[in-house]
Amino acid sequence: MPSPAKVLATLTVNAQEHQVAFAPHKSLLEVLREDLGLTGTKHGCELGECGTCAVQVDGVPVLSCLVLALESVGKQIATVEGMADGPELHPLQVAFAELGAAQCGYCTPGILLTAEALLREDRAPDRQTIRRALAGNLCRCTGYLKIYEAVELAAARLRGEPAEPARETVRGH
Amino acid sequence: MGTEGGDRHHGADPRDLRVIGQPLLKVDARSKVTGATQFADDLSLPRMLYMKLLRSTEAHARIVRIDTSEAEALAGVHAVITGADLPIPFGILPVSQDEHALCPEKVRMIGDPVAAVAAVDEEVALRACQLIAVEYEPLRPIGSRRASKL
Repeated sequence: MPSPAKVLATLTVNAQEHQVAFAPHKSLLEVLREDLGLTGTKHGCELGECGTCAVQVDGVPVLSCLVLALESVGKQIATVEGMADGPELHPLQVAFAELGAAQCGYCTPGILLTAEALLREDRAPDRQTIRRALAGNLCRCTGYLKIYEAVELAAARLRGEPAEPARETVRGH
Repeated sequence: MGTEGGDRHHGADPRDLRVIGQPLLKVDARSKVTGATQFADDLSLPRMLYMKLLRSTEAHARIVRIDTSEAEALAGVHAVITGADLPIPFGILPVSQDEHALCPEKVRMIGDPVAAVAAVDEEVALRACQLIAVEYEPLRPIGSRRASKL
């Protein structure tokens, strides 16, 4: 059984255009990881249940395991590799690092992309709003608390408030 | 707390300690939040092979024979192994060296691994798995405590 012929398409990832040849049945996740070498986007359940493959397409979080790469042609795809501005980390990335909200790190890219989309819509989300926004992203390490606190910390800094992590968060007492 | 705290740190003032009691960034925090951390699934090497497992379709059965010849003949397949190739049991604890990576003679659940294929890509490995013929002699599955007494 021969493999299906590849198609040549242009994908715009993190504001860069890539000409890439891939089998037309491939998901956006597979093309990002296997054909573009962008392995920051993680491969989890392939069923749309775990959220670790979340990227943004035209600013909206989508599960890249459930989207064909061909459907994403002509759209703006954003992955974790594009979050930092050169050496300057995005405030969400800084907060996740500071608070230990990234432990094993496997769910982190999907959560960062989902949270970034939330903070563009809602500059001051309450805890319940953050929980709802991240409900599709599973994390087995942190128990979610540090993740919620990191999103709140990043949101405060993005609003220009000189926010520091709560003492209890970083010291446990 | 009070004076006891001082004793805990052998008389040192906790405020003078640079590591203990201080919020520190994990050494890999930056690579975790930038997606740079390489997990096993992120590694890709030249001429890397892909492995797929053929798993049991029976809940409880004796493996009568496994024919891997068609799978081995498929273009792109580098190796096919079964439990017979891995006779030495292993285990995490010295007292429980009773595990097998591939079932040697019996399967004990649907999904028990019975054969492994290494091939040039995932699709070839998957196709090779489908070409492996396993003959099972079904045994009575024991699905409850009560069934075990019969």
